[in-house]
Amino acid sequence: MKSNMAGILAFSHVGNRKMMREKEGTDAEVQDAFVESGIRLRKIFENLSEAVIYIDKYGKILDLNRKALELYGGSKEELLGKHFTRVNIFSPKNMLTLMKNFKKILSGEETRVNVSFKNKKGQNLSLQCSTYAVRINGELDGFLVILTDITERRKAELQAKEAREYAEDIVETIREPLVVLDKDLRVVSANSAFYRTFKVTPERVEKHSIYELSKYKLDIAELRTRLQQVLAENVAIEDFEVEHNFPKIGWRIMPLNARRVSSKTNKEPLILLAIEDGTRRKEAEKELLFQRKLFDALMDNIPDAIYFKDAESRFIRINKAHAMRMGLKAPEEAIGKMDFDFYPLEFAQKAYEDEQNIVKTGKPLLRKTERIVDKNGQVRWVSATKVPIRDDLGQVVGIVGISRDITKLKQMEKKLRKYSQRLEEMVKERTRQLRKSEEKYRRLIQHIPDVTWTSTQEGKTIFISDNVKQVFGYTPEEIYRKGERLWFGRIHPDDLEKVKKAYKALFEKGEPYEVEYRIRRKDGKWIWLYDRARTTYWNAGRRYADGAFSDITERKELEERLKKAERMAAIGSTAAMVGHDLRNPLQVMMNLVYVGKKIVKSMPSSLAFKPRFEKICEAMERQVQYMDKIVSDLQDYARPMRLELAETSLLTIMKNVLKTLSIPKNIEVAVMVPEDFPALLVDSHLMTRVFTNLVLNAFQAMPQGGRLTIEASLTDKEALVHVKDTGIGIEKENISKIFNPLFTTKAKGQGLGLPVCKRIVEAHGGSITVQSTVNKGTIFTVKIPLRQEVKKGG
Amino acid sequence: MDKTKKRILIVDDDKDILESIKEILEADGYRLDTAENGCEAIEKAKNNFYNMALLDIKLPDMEGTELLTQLPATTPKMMKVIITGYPSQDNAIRSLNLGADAYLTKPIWPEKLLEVVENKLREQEEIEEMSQAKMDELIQARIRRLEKEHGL
Repeated sequence: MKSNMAGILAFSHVGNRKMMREKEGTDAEVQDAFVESGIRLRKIFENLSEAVIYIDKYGKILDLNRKALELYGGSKEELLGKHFTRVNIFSPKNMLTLMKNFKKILSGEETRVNVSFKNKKGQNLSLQCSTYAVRINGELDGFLVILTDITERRKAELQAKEAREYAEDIVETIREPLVVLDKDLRVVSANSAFYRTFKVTPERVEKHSIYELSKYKLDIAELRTRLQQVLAENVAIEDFEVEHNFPKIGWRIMPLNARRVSSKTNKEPLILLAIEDGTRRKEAEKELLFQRKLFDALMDNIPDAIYFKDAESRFIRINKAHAMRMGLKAPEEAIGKMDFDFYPLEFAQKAYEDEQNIVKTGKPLLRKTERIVDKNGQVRWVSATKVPIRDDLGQVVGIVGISRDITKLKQMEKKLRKYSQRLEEMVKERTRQLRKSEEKYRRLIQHIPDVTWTSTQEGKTIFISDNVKQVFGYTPEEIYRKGERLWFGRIHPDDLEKVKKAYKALFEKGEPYEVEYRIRRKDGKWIWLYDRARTTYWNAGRRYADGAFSDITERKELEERLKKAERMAAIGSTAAMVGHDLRNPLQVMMNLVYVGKKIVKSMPSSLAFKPRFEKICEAMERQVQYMDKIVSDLQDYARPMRLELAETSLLTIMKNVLKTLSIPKNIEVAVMVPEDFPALLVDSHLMTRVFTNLVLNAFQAMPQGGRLTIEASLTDKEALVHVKDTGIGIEKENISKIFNPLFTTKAKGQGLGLPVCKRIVEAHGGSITVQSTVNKGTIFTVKIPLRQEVKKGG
Repeated sequence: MDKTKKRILIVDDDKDILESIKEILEADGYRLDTAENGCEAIEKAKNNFYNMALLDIKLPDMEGTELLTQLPATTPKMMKVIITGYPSQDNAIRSLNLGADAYLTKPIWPEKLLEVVENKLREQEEIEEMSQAKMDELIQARIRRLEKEHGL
């Protein structure tokens, strides 16, 4: 109460000062009247529905009424005497507005601004602030601020605005063109869909008549009437179709919908006109129809069975193919039925379970092969695909299934499997054959005598076929490892130059390399190779030759034998002549030696040179003897063998043999032939030759002296005569050759002796063999058949 | 056997052979004559008696075998020995068929030759003796038959 009084006092103080300046020294009555008027003013001031605040010219709050205090929400003491900017109720922005406001007021304007603030109770208030300058005697005293609470009004305005914007948003977002027309059917506004659809700008549309827009094409009597009805009677237009060829968008069928709308603010009625683009819908309908036709055509003509079922596996629709498969006359007969009605229980049950599983899980069943036995007992194979059908909410409401008859496919598959099995067998068989032929080929390669090789210019072998092992004794690996030295190192020294020269000529002159040479095998045996290569080539900067060689040892030996045989023939043909030619001189010499010996014998012993002459004669006799033997051998060998068989005592032959030979003094001779040894049916002359040769050989094998043993023994069928010496023996490698004609180890010898022996003995149906140990001696064994038919001629 | 009374003819175109054999046989006591070809041999044999002829099978004017037939028959029959440098069975058989008494191949050791010569001459003597005895016997038998026929 005290504060109220102070406020009024403050207010009256203004009046008092004014009045006092005007009327100084007034009486009490006047004073009472002033008090009364002040109290009345104060009451009015307090009860004003507007909040009133009085601020001095410096901004200090001097007074405020109840309504102002109510708005503030605090006590009067908190405000009185405080500068209004310190009250802390206005936001800085409002404060700025107010300050500007005061300046305007000072320049004589009345201002009204809206401000908002948060009061002590936390309420957000919107206030309309009207400020008036109070002047006393033309001098600014303060400001009267009247605040009107407009919070409720602002709220309502905001709501209205929101509602409008919401509505506008809806209109804007509607896909169909919309126009709002006023009562004169002029366009008030249009949505963006309208502008988009008709490709026009707002300037050309707004304020124009709806008929102008369409160049009066929409000026149809019925539409006019209808629009008037909308305005007057609020009768809506629904799907009124108009057709029009628009300049920019072409022919259009447009169903029109119109409603009258009226607003509270605008008393004039408006028409909301929706212009649907019916063309698109029409096209969509047409498209849909076409799609349906396609679908029907597909359904009716596809050989696959197609069906739609609801969530309980009841048929909704099936196609013709499915109907036929189920033995129905028309697809409609299946509707509402289930697989159980058409198929055996087991199959239907399985299908049902599958379908229910799809309904439950939404997982499709893809290409499941199913075996169906239909009512006729016929087995069919189908490939079934079932997928869920969902409604707009994604809920599975049924399934669609496609069942393809793959019975034929299955049969084909079976056939194919059978064919492929057969094919596989054939392939296997063929492979086996190929492998066999390959094996054969490989064996052939392995057994083919030709060895193929590839060598560098330097003669290093980089490839050689495996069969080299058979021919050469070394494996390819050994040959690669040991390099060219191995090869060239084992070539016969007599052939080496020839080989090197030919190999060089191959690389340097391109002359075909073709050479025969001897080479020593790993086991030491000499073999003949026929080696050849035609050309050379470069590879990776090196020069190579590919070639092949064959083992021609056998051929060479044959050639050698042939050569020898030819030589023998030549010897044979000349032997007679030579023999004759030598026989005469030999005869003369024999005679002269005999004469010479006789002469020497007749010389008196006193003659000093008599022994010397004797020696000369003996030596001459020996040499003539030897010459005689050569001539005889030659002739014996060349002459066709004709045996003059006669029963002959071996002992006699031996005696004859030894009689004609002069036995060296350092050799002991023992003949061991039993007295009762049977007579042999032989040509005694030739047999004498045989043993003469053998004994002579024995003598020659014992130059240092030794023992010669001639021993005879018997088997059931043969007489064996061993001629045994204790001489130098025969080298192992020569043993096989000693019976070859013209082979000799003697410095003086034609190599005919043993061949002649062999020939003679064999002509008798016997054989001659030899055993020998070097430095121990040699045994020749002559085997002569006992009284048997013997070979004649030869 | 008195070798000095035995006359031998050697026929060979090789003079050295002729000379050397002549020397050997003469040294042994025989009386020798030589001929260098067939004609000379025939001529000599016509004019002289030889106990033996040693014939080379190849002569400049004829074959030794031919010479065998050309030599005149003698009494006692001449021993003909063929010595050949071409020993062959054919030659040997032919020689023997044509009247050769021996067949020797060149070269022949002188000792052997001497042996053959001596043997053949001894044989000749035996034949001669035998034929003499036979002749005697024949004459005796003839006489006896005549005596018987004539009742003597």
